[in-house]
Amino acid sequence: MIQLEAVTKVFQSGRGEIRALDNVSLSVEASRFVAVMGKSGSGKSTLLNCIGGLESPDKGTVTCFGTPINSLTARELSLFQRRHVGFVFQQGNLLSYLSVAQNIGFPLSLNGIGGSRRSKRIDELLDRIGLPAVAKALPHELSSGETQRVAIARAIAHNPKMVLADEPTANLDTATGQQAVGLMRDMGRDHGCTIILATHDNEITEIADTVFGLKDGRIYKEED
Amino acid sequence: MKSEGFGFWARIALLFLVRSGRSTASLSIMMISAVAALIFLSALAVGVNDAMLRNTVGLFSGHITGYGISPSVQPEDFKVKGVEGVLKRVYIPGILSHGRLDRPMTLCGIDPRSETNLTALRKKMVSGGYPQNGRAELMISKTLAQEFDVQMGAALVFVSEQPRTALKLTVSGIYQTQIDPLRRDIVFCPLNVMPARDLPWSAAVFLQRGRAVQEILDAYGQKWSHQYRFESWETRMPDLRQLIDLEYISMGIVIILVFGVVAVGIACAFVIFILKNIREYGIMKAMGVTQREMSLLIVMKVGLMNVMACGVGLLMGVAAVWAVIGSGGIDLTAFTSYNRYFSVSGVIYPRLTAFSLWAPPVTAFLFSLISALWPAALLARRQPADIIRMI
Repeated sequence: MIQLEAVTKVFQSGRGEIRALDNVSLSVEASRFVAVMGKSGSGKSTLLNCIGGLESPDKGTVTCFGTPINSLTARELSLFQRRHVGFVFQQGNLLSYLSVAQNIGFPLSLNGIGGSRRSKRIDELLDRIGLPAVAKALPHELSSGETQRVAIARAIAHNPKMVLADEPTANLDTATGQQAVGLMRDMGRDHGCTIILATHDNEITEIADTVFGLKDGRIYKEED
Repeated sequence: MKSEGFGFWARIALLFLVRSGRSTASLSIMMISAVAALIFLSALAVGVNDAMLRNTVGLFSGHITGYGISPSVQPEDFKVKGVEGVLKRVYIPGILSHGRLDRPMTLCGIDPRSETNLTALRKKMVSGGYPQNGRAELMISKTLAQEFDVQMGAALVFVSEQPRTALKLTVSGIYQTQIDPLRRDIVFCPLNVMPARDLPWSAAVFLQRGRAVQEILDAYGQKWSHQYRFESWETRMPDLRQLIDLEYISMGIVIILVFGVVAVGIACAFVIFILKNIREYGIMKAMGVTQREMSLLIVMKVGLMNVMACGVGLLMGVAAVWAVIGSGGIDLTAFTSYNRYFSVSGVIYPRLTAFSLWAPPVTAFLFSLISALWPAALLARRQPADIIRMI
């Protein structure tokens, strides 16, 4: 289970104080597919960053599968992230100098999975995302849709407990976006992985188990 | 589960360098040219000092002078390992006169053939040549020839008290030099026409290239049990010693300044090189790469590039030095003709020393590693979300 209690995150900017998250509390059951809805600037990315430990909240606590992640040391947090978290970013954000196979293999290597086990898992994931032929390609040789599929494979490669996806369909056309989200949901389901996806695409909410609505840093609705 | 270690991060760093081809190449070119230029500059500084020493001791005096040597001892007796040759010279003080003009003078008896082989005074001849063995001939400086108003073939008389003698000598050669004692105080004749053969003699010892003077002095000390007095060129010519030291100091300052400027350039370029990809470091951090692993990766990138660039720079620097040596050195004659420390030749041959080989690459390497500290610290301090937002 993922639990947030009274989480507040404030940014200082040239426009003054921005309250990205304002006293947010929520719970997500394990293995759920969760959509966080909201307009641009509503705090969706900050919420995902706080859950995944990419930034720490100013107030409140974040507990992921029994681990209070905002009280971990930097090293403990890194080890938690590499083992239990997978990220999918808006632009894919593959490592530009690694091939597709090396990008998918990166989290496996971090988790000490090497040799034939790694190769087998990479092949399996490439088949699953329908891109077995691009193993040796570099990220700049892929289309946006292919990039996002590889990013999903990389996020899920090491069987994390949760995958956090920050507007993964923002740069894709509707059909490709739906394919990518469907792929993520299916792969997550296969591995019993909790998926939290930030989006402003209403169609995605139809396939989500739970939907949180976020506005001005506050949860204003929760639908199962 | 144990994560991947050193080899994994080295492979990632190498992939980064190879696949960031243009950035790696442009930064490498800067490193290579800096290291090569600094190696050449260091070698040139050594070469300038070598040239001054070669010119000064090679003209006449040799690296070591031995005094009061018994007539029974032969020059060959001083030929130990590292000695190229030994010249026997006998000095007699007296008066040199021509017509009504006379001057206090030292007559130096020499073996013309050996002198020609070992010293460079022959290159300074403006008329005639060395006196010939068995002939009552005299070699004088152009300054003295002008003072006495004599030409080739003129007869001069040398008179001495100790031993009491008077010698009539014909001018066979006139040389020109800027070295004062050679210009005004000494004239040369063959040893075998000297008035006395059983006088103590002086040895001018010439060493092989690269030999340390002290090594030979120690050998002489052992062989002759300090029976004879020997002086190195450093003792005889403290001005030259000081000049060489000053040259090393000033060249050292120049090299450090150049190092400084180059190092700042390298450091800035490395910072840009690392920060250019800062977003990817943020992604890696989000994937669970620890601060230690991140720092290791940065150091690996900087280190691998440096090893490659410094290696190539080293080879290019050495090649440049060899190319200059192969093409006959750098001829600065036009700029050194009035300098007594370049009295024989103004040609500089750069010489590689251990210092000139290791100092530039090691310094460049250290500065690059230091330059990686700031980005590494920045990445360690910032949260992944901040880093990803940076660009």
